[in-house]
Amino acid sequence: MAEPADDVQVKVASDAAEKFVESYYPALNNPKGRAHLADFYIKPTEASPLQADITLNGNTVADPAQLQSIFETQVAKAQYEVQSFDCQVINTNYNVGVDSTKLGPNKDGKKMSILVMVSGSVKYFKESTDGETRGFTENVVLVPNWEAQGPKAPKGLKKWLIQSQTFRLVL
Amino acid sequence: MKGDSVIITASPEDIEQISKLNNFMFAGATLRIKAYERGSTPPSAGSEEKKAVSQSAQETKEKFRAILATRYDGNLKLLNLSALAQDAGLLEMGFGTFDGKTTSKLFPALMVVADQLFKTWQEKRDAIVSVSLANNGLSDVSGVTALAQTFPDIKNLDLSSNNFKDLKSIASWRWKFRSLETLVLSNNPIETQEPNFNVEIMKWFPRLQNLNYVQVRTPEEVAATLEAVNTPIPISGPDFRDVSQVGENFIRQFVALYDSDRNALLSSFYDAESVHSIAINMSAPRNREHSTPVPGWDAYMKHSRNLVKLTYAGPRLNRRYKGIQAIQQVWSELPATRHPDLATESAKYLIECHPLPGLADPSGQNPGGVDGLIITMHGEFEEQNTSTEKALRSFSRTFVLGPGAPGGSPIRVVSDMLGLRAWAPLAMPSNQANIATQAPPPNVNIEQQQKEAMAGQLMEKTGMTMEFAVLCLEQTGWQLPQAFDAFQQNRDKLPPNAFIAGIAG
Repeated sequence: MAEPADDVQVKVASDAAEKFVESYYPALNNPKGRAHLADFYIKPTEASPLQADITLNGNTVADPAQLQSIFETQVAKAQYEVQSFDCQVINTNYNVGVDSTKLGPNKDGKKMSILVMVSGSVKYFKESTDGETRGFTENVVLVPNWEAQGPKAPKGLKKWLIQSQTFRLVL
Repeated sequence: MKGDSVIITASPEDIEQISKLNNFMFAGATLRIKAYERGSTPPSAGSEEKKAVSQSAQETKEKFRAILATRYDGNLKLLNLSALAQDAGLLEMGFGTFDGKTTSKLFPALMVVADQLFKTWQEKRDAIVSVSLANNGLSDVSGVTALAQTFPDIKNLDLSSNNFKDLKSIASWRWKFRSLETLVLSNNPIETQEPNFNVEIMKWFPRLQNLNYVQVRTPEEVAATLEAVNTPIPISGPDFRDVSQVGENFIRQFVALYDSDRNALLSSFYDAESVHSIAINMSAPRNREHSTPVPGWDAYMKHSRNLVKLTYAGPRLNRRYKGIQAIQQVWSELPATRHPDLATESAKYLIECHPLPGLADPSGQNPGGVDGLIITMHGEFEEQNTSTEKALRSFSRTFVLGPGAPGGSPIRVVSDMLGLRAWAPLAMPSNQANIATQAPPPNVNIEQQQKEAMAGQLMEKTGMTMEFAVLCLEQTGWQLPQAFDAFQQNRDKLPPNAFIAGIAG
């Protein structure tokens, strides 16, 4: 197998980034969606113990479960709006968590890691008080969800998962 | 709004600019833009009628101005609109009570004239801090609701000695006057008919400190409440987890060289596989206290890879710059910059860094991947080649750094992603955040950051919509959200002839 061509890289990365912004922020805005936030992140396994690296406003978050609990308990209501996003392929042949017999590249871009940077606004609410409109920048690194690949993969799984996330209010 | 037409007021200089958009294609339609003199009506009206209306409207306006002048106290910054029914000048113009048909037009018209006395929102905010509507026999706010559109930022409002019976009668101001600190509702039936009104009113206005001459919150309590709402996840100092100072050293060199010698920067850290892109967020919210006009984005536009806007595969590919040559070409076209000094102006930055596994190994020795760093720098820069105007931009820039190829620089830039937005001061770590547990990056002045954070939390923030900007900007002093808001609200609430030209009609 060969490395993915440039146009394939851009297409696959853009689609992954688009899918991310179109599902992640609505999940934050919807109190019901928050119950599934942890599903957006990589899960450490015996073969691949890597844990998602999450930082919110400079606070290190231990794991996706803690992130989910922060949103479920600390953030009463929020309205995130994505105003801009961009993405780049970091590695065309990402191999963390890949069996040592399958380290070769994939020409369809299924083994890439992708950097996404999002810029937008957010407004928080609590009881009947509405907060001010703030600005945020967030970057995430998306990596393949290996479980969603292959002929026997269950349907409906996310194709890309968050490996690294840095969120900050910039206004 | 008249049918398909939008009528706006603009200064002569702006008219010249706006007129350039004549015959522009916008949203599938061709825009026709023509200038009309002040006080004239749109071309549908006959020219004779136009003249008469114009003169009459002008007279009405002058009368309003005279009335406003007598009711303004410059020392108190108070616009006293109490007991309007007893105002001789207004009586002459047909003002009776707020329930009358004429009156329902008069008050919005008075507000329009009041609004036109100010060139910018800032000027208006500075001049009018308090408004009294006492003694006006008001049974609800529907007749005076234009006050909330014209003076949304007032801090003190006197509604005493009216006929407000319940919360419903003032409910349409539930989400207005977001800066209100003092409210007087005494001598209204609501006091006795709705004994718990004060509890509800306090919820409505989160900054309210005095209600009916009683202190209901201290400024500290207001600040704490707002802080809790605005920042449910506390803002801490930067999370800077460096490895052997690689991140720190890179940032130091990057900031210095990007301003002074971009080619040297490229040859030091970039290679044939480095990727760079730029995305502009033109809708980024801005701080009301820092609302300088946004310098044009012309120099960046053709490079912007904001994928919200850029939806076609071709441009998405073409605006991703790979390799030194491609990046060099772009950087040579971008304005020269000056970034604040990292050592002496560190409070203008927030830089975060942590290790990132799974990067490609350029030496080929580790097919499973190698570790690198991901760095995000939030800050600002000043453009150097704009002749007189100081063009400040805010940015966030993410770098992925990895080990270099054998024989080259030990550190290479894998990704360099630049996000640009209109300038606004950075939200700095708050007092409450547990800064002690964070490892601050070198040279960060925490005390200064805290001060800025406290100041920042008391400031108003707001959003903007670009499509309306061209039309409304100058009129509202480059306050984009208010421009949009004011335009929307006036359009809905006022019939076309409720504007100046219609008052006399």
